[in-house]
Amino acid sequence: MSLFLLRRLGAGLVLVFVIATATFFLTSVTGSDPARRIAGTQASAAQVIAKRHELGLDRPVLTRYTDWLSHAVRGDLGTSWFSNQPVTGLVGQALPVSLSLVLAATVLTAAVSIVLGVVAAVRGGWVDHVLQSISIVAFAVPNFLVGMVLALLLAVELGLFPAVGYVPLAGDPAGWLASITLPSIALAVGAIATVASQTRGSMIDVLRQDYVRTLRSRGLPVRSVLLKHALRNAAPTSLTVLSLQFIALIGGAVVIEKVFGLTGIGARATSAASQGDVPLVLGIVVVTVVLVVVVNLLVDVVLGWLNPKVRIA
Amino acid sequence: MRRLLVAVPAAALVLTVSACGGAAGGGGANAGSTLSLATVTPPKSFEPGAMAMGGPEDHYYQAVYDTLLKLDAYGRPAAGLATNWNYDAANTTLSLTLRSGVTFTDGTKFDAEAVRTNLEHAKKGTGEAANALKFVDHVKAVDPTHVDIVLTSPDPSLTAGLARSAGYMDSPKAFTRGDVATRPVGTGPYRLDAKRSTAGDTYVFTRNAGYWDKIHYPYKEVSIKVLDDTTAALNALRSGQLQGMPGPSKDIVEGARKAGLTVTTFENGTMEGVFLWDRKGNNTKALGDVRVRRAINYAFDREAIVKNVKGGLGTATDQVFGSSTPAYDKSLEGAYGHDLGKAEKLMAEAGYAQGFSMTLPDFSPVYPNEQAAMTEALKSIGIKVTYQPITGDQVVGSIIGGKWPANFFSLTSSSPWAFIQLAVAPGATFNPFHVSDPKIAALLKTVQQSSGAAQDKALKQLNAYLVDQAWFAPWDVQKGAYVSAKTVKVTPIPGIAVPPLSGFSPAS
Amino acid sequence: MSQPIDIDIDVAGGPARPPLPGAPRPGVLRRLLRKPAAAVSLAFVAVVAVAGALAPQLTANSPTASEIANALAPMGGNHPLGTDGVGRDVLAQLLYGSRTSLTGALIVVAVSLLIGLPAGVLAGYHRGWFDGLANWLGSLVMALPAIIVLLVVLAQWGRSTALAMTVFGFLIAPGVFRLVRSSVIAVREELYVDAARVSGLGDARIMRRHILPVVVAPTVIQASQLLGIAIVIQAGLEFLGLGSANQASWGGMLSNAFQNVYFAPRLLLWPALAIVLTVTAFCLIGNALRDALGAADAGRRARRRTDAAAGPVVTAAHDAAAQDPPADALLAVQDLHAAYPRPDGTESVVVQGVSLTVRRGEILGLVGESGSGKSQTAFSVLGLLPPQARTSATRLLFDGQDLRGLSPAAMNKLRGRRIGYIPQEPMSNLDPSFRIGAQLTEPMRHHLGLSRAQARTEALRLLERVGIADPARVFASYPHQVSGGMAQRVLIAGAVSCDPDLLIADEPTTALDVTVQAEVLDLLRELQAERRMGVILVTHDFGVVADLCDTVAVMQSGRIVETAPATELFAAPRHPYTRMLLDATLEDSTPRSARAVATPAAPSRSVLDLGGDR
Repeated sequence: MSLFLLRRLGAGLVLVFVIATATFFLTSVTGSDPARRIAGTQASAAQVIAKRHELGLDRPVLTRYTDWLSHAVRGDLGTSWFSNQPVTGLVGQALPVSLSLVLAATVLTAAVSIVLGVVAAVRGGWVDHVLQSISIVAFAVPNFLVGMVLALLLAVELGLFPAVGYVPLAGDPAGWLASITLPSIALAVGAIATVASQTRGSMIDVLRQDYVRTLRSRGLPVRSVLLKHALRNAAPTSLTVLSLQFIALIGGAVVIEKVFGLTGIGARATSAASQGDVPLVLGIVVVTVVLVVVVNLLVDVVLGWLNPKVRIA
Repeated sequence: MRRLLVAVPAAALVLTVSACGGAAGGGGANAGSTLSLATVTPPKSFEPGAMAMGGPEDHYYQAVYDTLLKLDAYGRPAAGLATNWNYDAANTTLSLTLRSGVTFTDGTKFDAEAVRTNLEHAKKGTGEAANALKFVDHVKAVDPTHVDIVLTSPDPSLTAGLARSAGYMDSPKAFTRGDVATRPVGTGPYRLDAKRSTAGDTYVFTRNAGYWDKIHYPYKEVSIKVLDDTTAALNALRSGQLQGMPGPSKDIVEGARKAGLTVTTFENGTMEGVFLWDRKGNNTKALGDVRVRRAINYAFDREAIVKNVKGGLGTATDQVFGSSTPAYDKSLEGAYGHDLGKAEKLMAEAGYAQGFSMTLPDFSPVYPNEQAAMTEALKSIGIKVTYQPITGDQVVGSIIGGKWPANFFSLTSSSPWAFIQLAVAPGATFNPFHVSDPKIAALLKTVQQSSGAAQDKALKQLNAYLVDQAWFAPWDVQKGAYVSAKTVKVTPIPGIAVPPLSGFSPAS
Repeated sequence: MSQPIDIDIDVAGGPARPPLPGAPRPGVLRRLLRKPAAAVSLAFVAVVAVAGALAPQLTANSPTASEIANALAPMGGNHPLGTDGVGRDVLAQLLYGSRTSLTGALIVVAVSLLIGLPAGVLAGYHRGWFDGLANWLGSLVMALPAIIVLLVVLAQWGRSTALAMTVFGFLIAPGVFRLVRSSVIAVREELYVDAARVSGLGDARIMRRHILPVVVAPTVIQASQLLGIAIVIQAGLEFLGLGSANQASWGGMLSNAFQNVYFAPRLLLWPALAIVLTVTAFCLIGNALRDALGAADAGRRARRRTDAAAGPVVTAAHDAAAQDPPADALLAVQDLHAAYPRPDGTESVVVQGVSLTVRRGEILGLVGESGSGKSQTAFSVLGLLPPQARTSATRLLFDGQDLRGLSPAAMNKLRGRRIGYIPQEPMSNLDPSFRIGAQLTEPMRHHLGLSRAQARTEALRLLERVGIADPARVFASYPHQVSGGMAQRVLIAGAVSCDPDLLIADEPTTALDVTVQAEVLDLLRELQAERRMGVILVTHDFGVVADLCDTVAVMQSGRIVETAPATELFAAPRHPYTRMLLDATLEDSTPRSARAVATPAAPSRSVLDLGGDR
């Protein structure tokens, strides 16, 4: 198991390297001239050349790449071309925002969708119909629409939550919770629909298994059969779907952050990509990929732990 | 998941609420102590000389920096850090008398040396300031409170420049520290509270205790939040989280009005319309023919555009210079009234009775309404436009690089000379095909060398010639709009894009 | 939309099968159209597709041309749905937008399935280097923050919905790949595929019979979701301003309306409706398809059971059972019926009028062909029929207690404690996620109130009793670590762990190797004798009956056609069906049954005798 994890970790590092490299070259062969844009519309040709030199853009791509890489492995992701701030700082400020949002949405998704999935699978009948119908519609509504309705209703009209902005957790936990409540609900709605329907499906599959009948034939309480045995066997599927959703949520956060005026990874990525701020784009890609690698590693550990065939082997 | 239950009544409520205008959000709590504003973009750099053109970003700089001159209520230069200023007879030396007893927030004294350091630094920079200081030869510190700015040739827009980004004064020590881009040390009304600020998100400014002009800045604290989504910004204003935001388009302004917010409008000195770059016909041969350019001018129904596209946020005009500038000539209005008959005739004369086609950059994500209006008008005289998608970072570069024969554009023209330097002179940035014309060259020379009535006359002649030759197809001079909550009073200044920080005060 | 799902949905009786069987068969579409939700959804999607295709015919207006002077025109006249903020016709945008949205969605699904499906099947089935490589590439792509890739790519090549959707298809393909791969691996690791492989089925057949059926359903569901996701993602990209600009699209309309929500909120309505309804339709189609695929098999099985009409019920024994049960009866069943509702409203009757009696210490053999209703009868007694099953009986007495209308909790007190159950397939009847020890001790702790340590001691003793050589090791093992025979011994141990009075064994040896079969039968007999349990032994094997049973009841098409003491039945079968069964047994094999009648049961010898059976 630990060897397996070590190998996954190694593969993860290779992954980060490959993606960073690919992104570097993809963004570096761009046809636009970042120096011109950074220098400003009024800069003379000489000033643009000076800016180009200052940014090191007059060096060969390969030199720039090795330079970037040698700094990156030491934890220095360079300086944003447009805001003149260190990339690590910019990403470091944005990361808590996005992580708060995505983690809250993930927890919300896991909690709500397990309950709904199990209830739908077990209750059947009209309860199942109603839950399924709601989850389908929830899945079908674009999350920014959900976010907007939540913002208009609960923030603007009722004033229960702030309409925009993020409050750091450290100083003001209540404010933090209030600031991420609406965005994470908006973010989670679609994920809940997906994970709940997967949980329902895998619960039904498990409940059809012979061993469930045998467990019942032993006179075990329904609670134990459902929540201990069936749920445990349905968990790997749900967890896999949840881990996929986690990555999707990082993407969804880009849109939600815009609706709620949150400066997270997504907002930074949007502006960096549209400006052509290569160091910042690279930094965001690297950090996001590392995040995904870590999450996948954690999911692997949990999945291995849940599956005795893997755990014992 | 329970969302559906909420969504339907919520959506209904939204419709009702926005239809009947709604009440202003609460949030009077922080009025008087903190001013919270929204802008669209974060400050690129706090370094004087590196700042881009003026716009909503000005609020960041106005909080920490004073300018050598300020603009009065009519947009004319007035005393700032310099209490007095005058040119010599040849208009090539500007002498400034400096305010004494002013210190930067790091304790450094503000004096003539500081002015020299700043101006020399800004001239070497790549921002708007460098362009404004283009004609500066050198700066001489006469004594601690007197500075002479010596020019290579007269620059009619220098004083306006010193009231804008060219006039920002940072501590001379800041330039040697290396973090000047992110740590401003000015003499301004506030200082940047780095601890409570998040780059690219929120900038918090706290009162500079020893500030000399406190009376114009009643708020103890100013907080500026970056919000690139206008609906989010409107939500924040309505919920009382923020008190002001720029209102750059009809949709936002009408939305804000319906949302029960205050909209302040003012002449912001920016001309917009279709800029016909390719006056020599390098890219699109037809545009080299003045008859075609005139036909395009006839194709636009400017009044309708102002009404429908701009929602009234503009004044229709046939000339590039605004009515408050000396270059403006009222008799030129109506030169190109909406007249498709004339346009078609001109097109036929030029040999384009069947029209022609051209490829323009696709600005619909930013200017959907403007692009729609342009397409419609050009189509009406047989010009077929194909739009090529373009990313934000390529817009300016591709225009300057001469990729497009024309496009919808806007440029500030409140200072005629600055506009000429930017978009008319053969080497100007926004003369991408470097079109030169002997008559224009001669008039430029006259404008630069002369002053007073002679200069005004030359400007008017130049303006008339530009209209006659149809270098541009102006639509209107914009009306700026600023959206604010009922808790603040906003006083704009004509000719600049956003009301200055000093124009904000608590509504009584 | 779906049939009611409840615990124990599976119609009991058949051997364990993959839960969602069946590659699409010709009947799927027909079944699909019978579901109103699916039919409406298919019709809606068809309408949207046709509307998109025929947009130029349906409206004279251009979706992109604007009449500035006619901005925000109300509904009616030349603009049936009015115009937007720049005077573009809303209906035209909606119609042309459906082209953009559906094409984009199809691109995403096509690209992702084209890559993910074959790669997932190959990787999951053959593993090896391809699996490693595909997995690595998959995680490479999946670790990419999709939206950032899209941002960078679109910054590079300009905004284009088709490009964005193609790239998104690539980015989402690993999701398809992973799902397919993990389903394939799951099946592959299931015993029945191992068994299939051992029994010499070719790869192609295993793929077709065991792998594909399991892959199809999740893939279909995912594909339908992908269609929906694609449309939603497209809207998100439009919201960020990354879609094609010269193209009308729902996302673009929604995004515009969103930006103007304070100004012209009514513009939100149409694009929001279009997106939500279309995505909902895709989901509903996917769900209905899944149900149609999954329900197909259950439906077939149910139908099969009720086919032939039963022959005449002739036995005197049956008539005898109709009278009051003997005083020492442990279980007395009279006139038991069980039926399942069919979708068309009729009922499928699987047990009709069964009556039987089991005395303490008696072994009753319940014999019949597959689908004759024996297992259904057994489960009726246990109360383990699916909830939609309808049962009735004029008498259902266990040790004098009426089981009819007993609450689930009360029934749970009997099950496991006083009525034991031994299933047919040992491997599929143990919970793969829990250790054998835990599965053995849980009922004892629940019913007998034993402590953890006591239960452990008792379980180890039981394991030893059922002939397991190393009880401690098996106690600590997971089901996948023990052999089938050992697992069946574990299940027997579990069935008798709380010392039940009645044991119901459902074909307890069918799934086992021949040599093991005999040992297990011996064990059953010993345990029965030891504890004086009454036993219902469900089987189709007269050899087993001859070895063990005191009394035999023969079932055909849900009825008991003959009941008699074992010796009597073998000597003189009375019902033609019984005779037919016996003849078939005799033809098929060495005439063991006949000998068994003559020489009942020396255990040691029966092992040898069983050599050539079956």
